[in-house]
Parts: sequence; structure tokens; C-alpha cells
Amino acid sequence: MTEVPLYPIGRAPKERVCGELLVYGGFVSPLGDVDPETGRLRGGGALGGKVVAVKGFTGSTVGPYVVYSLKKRGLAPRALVVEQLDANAVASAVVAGIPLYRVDSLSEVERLYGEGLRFVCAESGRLRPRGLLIAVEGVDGAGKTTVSKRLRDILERCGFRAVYTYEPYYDAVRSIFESRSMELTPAVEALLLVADRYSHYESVIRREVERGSVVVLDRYKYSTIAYQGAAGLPIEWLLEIQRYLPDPDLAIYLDVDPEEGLRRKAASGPRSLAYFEEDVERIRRAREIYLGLASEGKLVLVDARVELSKVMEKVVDAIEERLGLDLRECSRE
Amino acid sequence: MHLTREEERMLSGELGEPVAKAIEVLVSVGEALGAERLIEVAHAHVSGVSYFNVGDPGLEFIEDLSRGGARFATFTTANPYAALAVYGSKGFNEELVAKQMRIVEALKRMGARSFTCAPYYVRTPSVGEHLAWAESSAVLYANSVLGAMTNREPGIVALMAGIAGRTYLGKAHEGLPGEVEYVVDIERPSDPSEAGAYGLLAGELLGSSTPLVRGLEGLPDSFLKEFLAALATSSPSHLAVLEGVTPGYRSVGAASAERVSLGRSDISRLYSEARSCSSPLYLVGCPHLSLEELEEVLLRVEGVERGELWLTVGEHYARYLVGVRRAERVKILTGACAVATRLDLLGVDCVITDSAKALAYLPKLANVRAFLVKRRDLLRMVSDLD
Repeated sequence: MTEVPLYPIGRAPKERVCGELLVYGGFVSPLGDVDPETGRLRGGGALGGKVVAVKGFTGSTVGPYVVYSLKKRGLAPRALVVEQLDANAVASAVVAGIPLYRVDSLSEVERLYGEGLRFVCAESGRLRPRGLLIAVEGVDGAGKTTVSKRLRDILERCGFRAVYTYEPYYDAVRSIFESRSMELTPAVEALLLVADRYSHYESVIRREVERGSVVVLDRYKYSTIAYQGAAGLPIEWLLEIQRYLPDPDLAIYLDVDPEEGLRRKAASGPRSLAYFEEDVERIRRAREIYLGLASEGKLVLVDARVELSKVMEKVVDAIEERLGLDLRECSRE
Repeated sequence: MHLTREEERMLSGELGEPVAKAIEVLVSVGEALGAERLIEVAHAHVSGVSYFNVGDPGLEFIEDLSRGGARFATFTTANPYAALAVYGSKGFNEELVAKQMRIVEALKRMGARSFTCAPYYVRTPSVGEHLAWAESSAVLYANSVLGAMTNREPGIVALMAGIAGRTYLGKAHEGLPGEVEYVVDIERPSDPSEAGAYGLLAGELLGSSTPLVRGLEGLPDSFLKEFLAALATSSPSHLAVLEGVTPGYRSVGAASAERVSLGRSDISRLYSEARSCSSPLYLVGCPHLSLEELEEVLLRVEGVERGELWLTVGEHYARYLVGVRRAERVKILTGACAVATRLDLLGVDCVITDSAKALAYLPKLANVRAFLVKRRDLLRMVSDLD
């Protein structure tokens, strides 16, 4: 994957610094070019929490004060990358405590940006694009597929390289569930679904993440924990068999009542495959496990009983809060 | 960058957080610009004082520093603040005045000695002395007239230099260059405004190169000050070698330099008649006047027919001005800068000034039209309007 050499200026942070990439091809004068109230770059996006790459700093020597003030308000970039160094850029970064890096040519960073590689990490002398894994979880009928696809569209509108995928991934595995050609005990279900997941991860997800894509997953690890856990299998075992699958960068749990989910499922027509048999009691227990995981902070709970636009707003908020991606502008249709 | 044992201690926080932050800024800036070490400075001069320039972010930063216990470790002066004067019957609102005064108070608590853009009238540096000055006109004056050495520091770097008593060893601290790329011959100016006009044009021609300037030898200080202040507005250079003025100018070679000549015909376009002003402000004192200049101006002004005449000087002159007679509508502003003030908010529609630097900055910073006239013409105009 494409990387850009970085030269840290001043005290380089020991840990890597990651965030959404924002590139501005010109010189920036913080006084005048940045709104001090919102932290937005004139004609560009918000700087807050991002890895901001610019040609250099210019204009008034008041610039460092503006950057310091943004930092105090939580509106400052997470890292600054410049092609041309000057006293103002350095002073701004130091007084505000923001890591500063120099690149040989801003065009290398612009190329990443242009290719949709918009989540990056500064680490070990490199600016590396990094893919993200966002899992959307929930019981049947919660709206996972609609929300996941909308999220993929929003990411693409914002310029990210984004991919939607789902589980179970393989037709062979789906057909076993549909045809019941095997005896499906909860353990068999779990092993089949986890096998599907490992294979899906190796053949699709890993490659996309390594290319720097944001992968939106319609179900992931937590579905097995919730559903097969609801059938009485120990959670520890369900975690153990998935030990070699990475955790998602963010997992969102769309919450609806089981009855509401099943109503939506029925209304959506016969083509849709219920992830699992339409057993209200089991779905209710799955929901409880999901809620438990959300209260432990493993998933972000989003109330999915409300209209879709509201759900999407919450999803976009969660992504901004947890991952620092600024999707608000592109989420307006 | 090589640091002394004391500087290491400062950086590690042994002398408090503000000193550590100041050294960190200086080391980072110095390293980024290729400096090998820090150097102690005899005088720091801070810019970015007008509330109109620095706004709430600057106020917040300076106040945080001051509250955090920052104190200047070396002789430190600061740029003038916004002119909080009343023009006619209009003044600025209380909130704005209060915020400007909070900046001034914070700097005073840290130990700022005076507020002026001519810090050489507060403490005159000696030849070869190392300084950390931020006001561009003063930087050029210190390096080119007084033979001192200062980088053209950003405001915040000068502020940190004041706290640390040091700055990074930039090119300016190496003294005069061996050779210059340009020689500029100037037709002898007849007054300070003409000298300023030449400075403005010279800066446009030279870009960032350091020139050798001929034609200013033996002129009064006020001429040199206006020339260099204007040059600093159009050029990023920290120095102009002035033949017959700059200490050590003879060591500077110009064998392969390109020659440029500037005469009266070149600067005439900068002068224009200011007939359409309904509420004029006459401004003398950019950069701030010396006491001698102020005295001379006051002697020549009888009164002001329309608008007002503002004379701007350093804050430290206030004690000399008690009981000084001044004519109707003549205001002596101490510690203030009219250019760094939104004069349009006071109802001023244009400024008539003898300063080429002010001519360049007034439309951008003060949001008013500006006209350049010679000082003696200006002093005649104020009492003699048609």
C-alpha cells in the first residue's frame, strides 16, 4: 500500500497518530482562513481531530494563537503535515501540543487523498493509509442492510474508498441454513458461521482493509455471540473460536424489539433470509446479549425504532465520536 | 540542537512550565530552520498586541501564559495596542476596550517595559548586541542602523524569547553578509515620507534579498526609520545595508551586484490628493515618533480645521507629556497604534499620513482609505483646509 515518508519536527509522539486526512493544496493563514468558532477551514472541512496536510503556513504571525485557541476548544487537528516549514507552523504546533511532520512533497499526500485513502496514521516515519472495519449489528429486521448500504454511500460521497459486504458471505453456507441439509445444532451453526467469517475475512475483508478501504460489514463477530449465545452456548467459547478475527474499529448495534424486527422482516418480502429461525424468544435473548455487549462498550447502541434519517444521524455521530470521521456534510441528501 | 546545561534544565521544566514551553518553541523553531544553538538576548520585543490583530485567541494565549506564572527573563518591550481614543464623539464599546486592556495588563504583569513600535527609544541596543524583536520596522532599524542583530521573529517567538531570555541562532545573528545581490541608488529624499516611499518601492523590487542602499547617508533618524519601516512591509528581508549608516557597511561587497536606481519620478505615483475625505484623520507617528520629532510637530501645528490630528508615540513618553500644550483636535496617543485599529468603526473615512508603511497597511488593517503626503504638507493641511 502507498506510504509517504514523514519527518517529525520537534518532539515526535511515541505512539502513532491516526485520523481522517484533510488535504489543502495551498498555504493556510490560520487567522482569516480558519473560523475560530467552528474550526472549519474556509472552503474546506472541519480541522478538529484530523490529520491536516497543507503546503505551509502563511499570513499573520497571529496564526499560532489561533491554533492554540482551537486546541483549547477541542477543534484543533490531531496532527499537522506541511511541505514547507516556517517559524509560524512550528510555533503553532508546539504551543498547541500538536505533532508536526514535514513531507517532501504535498502531492504525495494529495494522491492518497484523491484515491479515497482518507484515514491515515503517522507512525515510524511514514504516513500510512489505514483501512477501517465498521460492523453493523442487530437482530433481524433492525435495518442493518439499509443502514450499512447508506453508510457506504455516505462514505463514498465524502470521498472515502468504501465497501459494503455482509455475512453469511458464501452461498454454500447460506444454502445449508436454507435447506437444512445438515443437522444444525447451535454449535454446528456457530462453527459454520465462524468458518464463513474466517474465509470471508481472508478473501475479502483483509484485502480491502489493507488497500485502505472503509469496510462496512452487515453482521460480524457479535452476531454469533448474540444468536448462538442465545441458544445456550458459552460466550467464552464463542469468543475463543473467533480469537483470530480482528475486532472491528467500530461496531454499531441497531436496537429494535424482536416483534418489531420480525414485522419489518415479514413486510420486506420473501426474498430475505432470516439470519436465524424466527423464534421470538431466542431473538429476545440475542437482544439481551447485544445490549449487554453495548453496556460493556463493545458496541455503540443506536435506537433503530425511529425513522431511518434519525438512525443515520446517530450512526454518523457515533462514527465521528469514535473514529473522528467527519461525515456530517455528506450525510445530507 | 546543542543546548547548554542550563537550557537543558529549562527544557526539563526545572524552572517552571512557562520557561519549558518557551524553550521548547525556540528549540523546535530553531531546529526546523537549521539553527545550531540558542543565544542569549539583551532585549526582546513582542508583536501581536492589538486586540484587532490577535482577537480572543491572542488574548486567551497571553492571559494563560501570564496566569501560568510566565515572566520575562530579559528586558522586554511590546508593540503598541489598538488606539482606544475617541474620534469626534465616537469611541469603541466597553467590551472591546476591556479586552484590549486585559492583553496590556497581562503583558505588564509579565514585565513588559513599554508599548511601542520603536523599542529603540526605550532601550537603544549597542552594536553587535543580540536581540529577539518581532516588529518588522524595528528589526530593520536595529540591524541596519544600530548594528545590532535580530531575526525577524514571529510575535509568539519573540514572546517566548522574552520568557526564555534567548532565541535560536538564526542567520541574522551572523552579522552582515559578505556580498549583496542588489545595490539601490536613491535620489536624496526631501522628507521622511519620501524616504518611506523609496523603501516601499525598493522592497517590491528586491524581494527577500538584502540590498546595499546608497543615498541615505547623513539624513536624520526620522528618514531612516520611515525608509526601513516601508521596506519591511514589501520585503521579508531582515536587513538593508545602508552606505554610510550601517556599522561595518564597508565590509560588504557589491562587485557582482545588480544596480537599481530610484528617483522622484518613481515615487510620485504614491502621492495623491485627498480631496474626497469628509472625516479625515491626520496621522503622524508610524513608526512612533521620537520626543524630538514630537516637539517639532507640535511647534508647527496651530489647530485642526476638520477631523483630527493623531500623533502616536511610545507609552514610556507619557510622563514627559504632562502639561504639554496641544492645539484643538490634536491628540497625542501614547502606547497606541492607529494602523492596528479599526478606524472605520470610529467613523473615520480616510487617513492622511506621512508614513508609507501606514499607506500600505491602513486599507487592510484599519479598513479606511489612505493618502500619502509629505510631513510638512500634512501639517499645513490640517489647519488650512479649502
